Amino acid sequence: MPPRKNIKLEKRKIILAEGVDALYFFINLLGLLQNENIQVLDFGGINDLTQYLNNLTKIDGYDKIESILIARDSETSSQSSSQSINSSLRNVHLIDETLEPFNIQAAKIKIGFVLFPGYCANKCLYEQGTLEDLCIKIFEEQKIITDINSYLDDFQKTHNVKFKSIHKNQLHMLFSFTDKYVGLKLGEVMKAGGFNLNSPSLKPFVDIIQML
Amino acid sequence: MLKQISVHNFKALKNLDNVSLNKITLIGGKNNSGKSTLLEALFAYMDVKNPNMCFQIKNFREPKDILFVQPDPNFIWAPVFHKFNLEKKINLKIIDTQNNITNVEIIYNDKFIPKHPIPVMNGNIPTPTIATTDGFKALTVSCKRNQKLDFFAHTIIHAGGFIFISECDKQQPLPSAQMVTSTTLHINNIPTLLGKLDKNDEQNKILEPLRLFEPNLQRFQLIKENQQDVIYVDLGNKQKMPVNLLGSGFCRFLSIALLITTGNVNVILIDEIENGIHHSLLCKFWTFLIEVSQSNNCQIIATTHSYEMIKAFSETAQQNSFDDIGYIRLALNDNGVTAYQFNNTDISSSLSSEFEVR
Repeated sequence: MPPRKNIKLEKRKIILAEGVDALYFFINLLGLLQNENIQVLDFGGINDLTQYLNNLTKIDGYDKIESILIARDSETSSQSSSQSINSSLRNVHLIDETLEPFNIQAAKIKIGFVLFPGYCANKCLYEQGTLEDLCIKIFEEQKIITDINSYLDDFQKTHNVKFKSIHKNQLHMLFSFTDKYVGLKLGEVMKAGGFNLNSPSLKPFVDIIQML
Repeated sequence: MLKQISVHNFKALKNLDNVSLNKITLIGGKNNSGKSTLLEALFAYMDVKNPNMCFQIKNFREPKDILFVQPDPNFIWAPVFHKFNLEKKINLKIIDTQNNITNVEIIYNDKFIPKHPIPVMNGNIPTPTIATTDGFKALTVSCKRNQKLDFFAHTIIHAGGFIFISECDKQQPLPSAQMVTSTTLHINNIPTLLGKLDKNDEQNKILEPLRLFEPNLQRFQLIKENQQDVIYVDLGNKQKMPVNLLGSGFCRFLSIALLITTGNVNVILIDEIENGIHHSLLCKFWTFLIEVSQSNNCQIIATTHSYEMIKAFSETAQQNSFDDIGYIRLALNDNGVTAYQFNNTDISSSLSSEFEVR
């Protein structure tokens, strides 16, 4: 059995990330941004968010919390993901009015949420997608992505298969086509400097972190 | 059964409102967060008709014989008042599961003028004494149930001692309580309870759970020594041995088991319940407590510092489909002591999220 962590709230600003990949993505992004004022926690799956927030309000240090940012995938619909987060926040009385993604509600505790993969070039929220999609978009200007997509399309046609989470296949191929990042996980690639912090796709996430 | 308590100006608890209580409630929190004080507040309510209640509470932490206690308000009463301030009255509000509301008020008066002369002993003769114009130092305790006065009494310091004056006692029963701390319940209390169990030939009720601690345990036996009952234990050896040789953890659990199984108390208050229990026994320990608290209608309220104890408590309740449990985390923050309340879903999900819940 791995040793228990006994998580305590040690900082006044927190990011609640959905899953381990998002947890390490933010931990390492904050490291690269040299931001030491934010604690990142993994709230598990989206169905756990309400209970997680409820429990969070009862643990030591919550009375000192100034800002909370929630990060999750849009999955199949950014609209229903937004609704789900709003519902969780309302259930634990953290918001009164509906909150839009990438906005911060200024109240006793500043609250905001972000959805992966974030915004497209014309400033519209992507209607669906995941953290892996964001990572791929950060690399999008590189020709390698086009080659990977082409290979995956051919592979699926030739072998008559359809990958359920193509973004994961794309991302792992992307890492495997490099010497530096092969075998690494998403958060480890962030830590190793594999993602361009000045990428327009990453900018909304960096901006909201600075607003916390 | 007690359902809710609010405490004002009692020891470390300035304002603690609407703390929910369950059939079994565990209280956690850092040192000096008010865990034991909350137990003492509950005890104060249930022992409110006892003129020595303040002394009893003081005794939980600092055992002394009442015969040697100075009749000084700052020594005997002030310690139960918030910040030792005798000028602010203590309020306790308790709601039971029948929704009866009991309000207890404890007020210090340093110029108390009794309505009637106080009879004091002058040699062997009770002599009425009139208060001086300065009045007496007195502690007044009142207890109202559903807004009707049930109990009203004063304890007065006079002539180097205490005089108790009851003005009203409608004899409404209060739940009986026993506090178990490392100092209050020691070996001397056990023989009477064991005798009660033996009288009904029910010793088996406690033998099985106690074998968790000592697998060789056969039976207990009360033996008279110097006019006193002493408990000996048969471990299957040639010679029986005094029970206290089995260690404080065993004796403490024996005390708890006896208190509950003999139906001697309605509410048992246990400070630092984990003391003397090995972590591998915790789930079986809780299984026993859950079973006997249900079968004997005994409410258990306990404090703990132990993460393993909280975990075992939650897991055992789930395994036994026993929902009537709660965990309270007390925390001292800028506004005084705050109670954060967890039901079993909250406890188990907090533990799965690896939150520090103590």
